[in-house]
Amino acid sequence: MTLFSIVRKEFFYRSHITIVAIAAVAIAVAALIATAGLLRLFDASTESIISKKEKEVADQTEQLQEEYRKIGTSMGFNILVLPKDQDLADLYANDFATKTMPDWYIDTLAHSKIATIQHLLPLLQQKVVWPEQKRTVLAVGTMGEVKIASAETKKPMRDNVASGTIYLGYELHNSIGCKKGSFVKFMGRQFTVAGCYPMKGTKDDITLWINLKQAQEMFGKKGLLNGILALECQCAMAKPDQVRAEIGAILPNTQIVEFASQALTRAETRSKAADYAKAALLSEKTSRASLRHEKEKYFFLVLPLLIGTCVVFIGVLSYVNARQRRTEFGILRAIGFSAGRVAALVNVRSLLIGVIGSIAGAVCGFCALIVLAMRTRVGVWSLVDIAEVVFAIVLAPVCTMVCGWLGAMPVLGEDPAEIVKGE
Amino acid sequence: MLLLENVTKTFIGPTKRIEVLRNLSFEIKANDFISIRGESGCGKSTLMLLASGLMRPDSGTVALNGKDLYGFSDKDLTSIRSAEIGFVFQELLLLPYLTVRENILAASIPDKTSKPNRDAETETDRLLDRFAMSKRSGHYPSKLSTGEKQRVAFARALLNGPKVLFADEPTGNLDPDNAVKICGYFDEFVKDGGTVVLVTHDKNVAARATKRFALSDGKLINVKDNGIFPSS
Repeated sequence: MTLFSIVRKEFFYRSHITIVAIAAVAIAVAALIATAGLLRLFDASTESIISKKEKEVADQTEQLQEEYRKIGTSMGFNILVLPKDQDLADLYANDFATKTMPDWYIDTLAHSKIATIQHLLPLLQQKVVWPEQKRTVLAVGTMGEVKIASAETKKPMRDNVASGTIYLGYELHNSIGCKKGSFVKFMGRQFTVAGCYPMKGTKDDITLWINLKQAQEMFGKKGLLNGILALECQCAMAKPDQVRAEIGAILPNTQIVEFASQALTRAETRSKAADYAKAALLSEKTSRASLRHEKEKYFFLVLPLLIGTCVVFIGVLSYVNARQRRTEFGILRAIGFSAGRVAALVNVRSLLIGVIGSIAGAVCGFCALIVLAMRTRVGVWSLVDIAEVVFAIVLAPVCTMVCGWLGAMPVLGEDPAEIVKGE
Repeated sequence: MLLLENVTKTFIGPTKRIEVLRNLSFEIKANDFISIRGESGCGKSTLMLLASGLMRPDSGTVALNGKDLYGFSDKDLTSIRSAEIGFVFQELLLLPYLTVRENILAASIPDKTSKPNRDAETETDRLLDRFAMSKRSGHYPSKLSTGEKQRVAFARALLNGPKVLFADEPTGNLDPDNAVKICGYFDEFVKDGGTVVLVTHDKNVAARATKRFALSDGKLINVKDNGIFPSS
């Protein structure tokens, strides 16, 4: 006969209260393990979603970029034909070419069998002071598009600028306060305003367009051009280098630059596609993180409540058990059990309940996670942290012992003589 | 052997303080068979608990073999109680989830906690034989008669070979035949050199003692052949 024999026998004798106490511990431990597993499942699911999303986004980005590239390509790109001796640094510094070339170049190009260009626009650009308005403007003389003999007839992209008419950039018409149909004076000549352009945010806003012949006269550059704009070159058929080579062969005294805005537009478009994809990914991540936070908040509210209830319940059960055993404690004291030995009976019982309950809880929690893992097709081990389970299994008996002790303390503290005498 | 000197014990009742024992002095010598009678609530059980080291007096001393019983630590006092003193109560106080044999053996646990005590087991078997309970050794208290339960309680009290046996109304719930049997066990215990302190209402049971006392008004009175409580 040992102390443990007494505990064991009493354990089964009061089986109802024992089972309820074990169940309370098991529920607390199972809830702890299952909750941690659920959060881990959520994280795993988030990782999987994000990873899938990342792949989708990467694919979509690539596809978008390809589509934009194709769209950009089909949109064509612009080529600026310049005199061969034009210093490009000057061009970019002055916003116009300082060197000139004969205006028959345009006819040569238009009557060639060039296949890669759709539209030609001869230009005579110059930065001049608009004496009447006392401001510097970029004046462009142009005659509208010149048809390429070998090309299919297409709708011109730029209208012809008739003699005596003027088109004004946003900053110019806005500051002067004129509109279509108004009259303005430019370098001593009167022009009818044929068009006012909306704001573009480029140097076009301080540009005015007049007839090429008039410009040649006004700038003293009769029969000369300083640029030919080849618009919407079809790079579906030819790349910029091929266009450059073809034009170079026809007009050997020229040089060709790709008009930057188109290239940039394409790059920006592609970049925007990537940015859009990144933003979508970030939004998904943020949304998942927020959802996790909500879940955490919920779990961390419910879990302590549940565990707290179990703890209080175990304490109450222990008190009830101790009350039932009051006489027993008295008689044990009378037959020679010290207070410590009687307390040991209570503690060993609580320990036993804690150990059995925590193992049962761990098994239940684990089973719940197995079911969850099977349903969500996630590896069950990814939902379980062994250290956490061990912690729960160790902590539960300790907590049960403390609760058991606190619950039994009022009875254990009673004078055995009073109990025996009372009986 | 056991000497109570100027022992006082007071309880606080619902309306007033009740002085159950007042400057009571009393000596229990080895091999005495003492009976104490008295009206209900006169303090018989209190005196017994006090003398057996279960209840500390408000004042006075209880000395066992010259040493103040309440001067010992709880652990030592428990140990002394376990080795030197046995109890038999009116309410039989057996543990319901232990068999007859286990109930008797439980008294050996305070000394031998980690391993079963072979000597105790042998002694238990001997006591079961002596109290004619061998055939009932595997039964639980709920299956026993009151007389059988009292015999088990008696056996349990004797397991550790106590020198003094305290019994509080040991025959209170028994029929006359069983009461006689139990009294016979007390006689045997005294014959074997033991000391018995018996608290009882029963005049006949009290009459078996060699020293008979009556407790009245907190004082112990030596009673000779004719009792001072004719009504009891």
